[in-house]
Amino acid sequence: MTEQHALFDPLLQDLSDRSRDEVLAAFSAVQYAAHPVAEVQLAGLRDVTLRRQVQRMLKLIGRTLVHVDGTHWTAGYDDDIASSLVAQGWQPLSVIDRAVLVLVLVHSVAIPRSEGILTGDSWKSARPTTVDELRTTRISGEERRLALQRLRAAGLIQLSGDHSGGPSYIPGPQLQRLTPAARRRLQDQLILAAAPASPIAEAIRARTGGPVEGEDA
Amino acid sequence: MDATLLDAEAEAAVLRVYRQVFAVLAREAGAMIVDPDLLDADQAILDAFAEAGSDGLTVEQATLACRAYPHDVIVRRFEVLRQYGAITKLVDRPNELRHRAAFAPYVMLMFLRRMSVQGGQAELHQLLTLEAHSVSDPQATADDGKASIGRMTKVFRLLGNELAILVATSTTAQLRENAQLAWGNERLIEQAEKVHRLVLDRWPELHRDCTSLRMALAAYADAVQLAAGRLVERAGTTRALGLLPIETWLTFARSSEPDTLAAVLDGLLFDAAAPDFSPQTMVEAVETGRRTGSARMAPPRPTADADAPESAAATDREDLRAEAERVLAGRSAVDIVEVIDEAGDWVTARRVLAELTAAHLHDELEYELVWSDGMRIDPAAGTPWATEGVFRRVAS
Amino acid sequence: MSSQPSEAVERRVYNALWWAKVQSAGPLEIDPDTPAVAGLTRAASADGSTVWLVPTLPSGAGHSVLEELDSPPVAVEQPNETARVLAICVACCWTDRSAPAWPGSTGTLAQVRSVYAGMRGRPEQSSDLTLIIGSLRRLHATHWIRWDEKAGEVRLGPRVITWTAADLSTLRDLCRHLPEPPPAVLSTEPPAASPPDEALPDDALPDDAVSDDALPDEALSDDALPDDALADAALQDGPSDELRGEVSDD
Repeated sequence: MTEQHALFDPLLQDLSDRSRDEVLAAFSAVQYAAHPVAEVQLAGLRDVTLRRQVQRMLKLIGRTLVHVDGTHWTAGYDDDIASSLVAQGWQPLSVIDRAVLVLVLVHSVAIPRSEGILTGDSWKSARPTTVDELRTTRISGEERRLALQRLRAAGLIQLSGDHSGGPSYIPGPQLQRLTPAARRRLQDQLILAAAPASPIAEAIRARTGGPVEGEDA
Repeated sequence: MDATLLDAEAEAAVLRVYRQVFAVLAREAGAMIVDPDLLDADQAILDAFAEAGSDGLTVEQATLACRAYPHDVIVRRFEVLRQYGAITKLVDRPNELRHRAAFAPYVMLMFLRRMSVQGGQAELHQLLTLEAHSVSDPQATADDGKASIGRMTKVFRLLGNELAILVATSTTAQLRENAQLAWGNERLIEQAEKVHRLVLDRWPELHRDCTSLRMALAAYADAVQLAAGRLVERAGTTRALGLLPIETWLTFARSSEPDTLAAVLDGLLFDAAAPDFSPQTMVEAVETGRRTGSARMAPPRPTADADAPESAAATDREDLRAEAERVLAGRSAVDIVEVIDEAGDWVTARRVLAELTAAHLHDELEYELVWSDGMRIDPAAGTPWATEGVFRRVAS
Repeated sequence: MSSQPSEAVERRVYNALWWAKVQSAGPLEIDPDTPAVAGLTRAASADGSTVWLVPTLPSGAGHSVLEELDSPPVAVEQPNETARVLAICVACCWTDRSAPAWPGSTGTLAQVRSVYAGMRGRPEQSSDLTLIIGSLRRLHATHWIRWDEKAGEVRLGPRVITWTAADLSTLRDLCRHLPEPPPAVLSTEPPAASPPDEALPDDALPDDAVSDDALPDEALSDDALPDDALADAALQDGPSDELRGEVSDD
């Protein structure tokens, strides 16, 4: 908005006009495009030196580059910044919104994983979660509807292309912004919540150094 | 259950269990079947005997009854079954052509199929229940208790060894394939401990045998933990989800309170919705809004009573419902092309379509819009090009 | 000397934390004593009682880049309807157009409805209110406006502080093309025990919408509801998943 930018200028001022444009374009693309952008599409991502500048810019605002499928880039929260905020109890997403999102993740990702029909190692899935599947919980219809609306607006879920059984949802592009550590954290917490006494949960606790539950006290 | 429906990987798993089980039946190494389809042939032959009644079957009759399979396959399997005594001559004399089948091989076959589907755990549960039953029998002696404890010790040693060796030697993929060995282990251990308690209370002199069982159980639990640890270690960032059974997920989704569900996202941060509205976008939106802003009447509302004001969303829903009902006009389904033609001009048609789409997507309305591949082209119509499809009510 | 690098690091972490907060929650209302955060501008309300932190970007960065890349941001529901209502809020709340748009003054739902109908060039219709309220809520949730549903009053949101002089000149022009809002009649701020209203004040109720004699087969032609492009695509190319995936307006 201003000619001067207190945060980014110290980084940008050393760049040529052209590099500056390319860095800013790449920065904007990974920050604001809904989906990860192809590395080949932008000089600011292709060129390792420019990409390093993009990463520096992101670092200044608590973000980091996230590599997707080896060919695309997006931006997510830096792990250290996220854990600092979490330590402060920072959680802007309401309980209902989070609960509905978790239900979509269970039906669209966890269950297909158990069925062995998902490939890759991400939270992407084409398996739709139907409204019926979301209905089976202790959340009222109106609450659920509003939560779905907010989650869609944030790109946390999206409508599935498959409308054969009425509207249905799949995980949204924002989940691709999770860093590897965040993706794993989500996996671990989902398993710990769903099957706290399972050997898998115990193995997760052992690895993360968390409290070992499920043993007789 | 049908082996022909299983994919290659599952077939290999089935075969593995069959091999293991048949190992104790086969007379010599190398005589094992290598194709699970042959088991289907065996079953077909035994099925044919079940239908044949007390007259039995000749080889030719059997091949005829099993004509879904190649003639030689049936002849060969018939011979194998005969050699193993699963099929015998009706009367033991040189010229007897008719045969009868024993029932035990069929029971074995059913058992095998179950084992291959469930990894043998259900059977193990049942065996443990039987053990508990037998050591509780008032007639049971200390020797019975000792034998029972001995059997269980061996089962759990084998289970634990198998897992431990898998953990030490196999790839992650192999380990994951055998994850079922680790599932439900707490219940198995619990059941075994129950038998252990019964025996120890009744025959304290068996304490040494009981100690062996406890050690076998502990070794099994350790092996499970090791296997789980290794699986989790190698599962990447989302794959460990596949290590839990589907039922666990369904139960979690259905029975958890919102707080419990929400807590899964503790420590994760997401971006707030931050749409951009540039002044240029606003200018364009106002332009199009002005251009198309002709008169439109409200759709009829189902009730006109002055209830407490509904939310805007609910009003929206009722508007969509009213529009859907107007289009359906009492029918359960209506052709989209008809809807478009009835609308007359294109501007009206696309508005109606937009509302039907919204009704379809609304998660509290039971309507659906289903497109087909066809297209109607009629230069005389108000809207000459129209994709075919149906708008209909969905049974709720 | 040796403490300097660590101070710089602390400063960087401080900035990064605030930026992350703003990205995860939207523009934040803060204690006015909060020290400055580089790159986050402070939007103070008219009476100075509230201050928001709003992210700013260097020119050449931001959503404008996405259009060239053909890599869109997360879709907004009813994007055009929402953009129209934002334009109308600007027209109602930016009364002194020689000054910046922020903080502006308070407008009312009655004004928004009136300008909306005027923009459409026809009398207000029953479905208008649903659309307007939906848009106001969406804009409020994303801090483009502050919408007080109980009072039926609207103000511009802290995000508008990032509009540049060029943006403002475009908007000034836009306001001139929109119908003049009627004078704002603000709620008289009842001292205490105001009756607990339902979702909307009386004047916001769609009372005229609930007319028994609305004819079902009256010519219906307005693009107000969902999506023209959507229906276009459905008719011309068959349904495209992408287009059918998002219910939007034109």
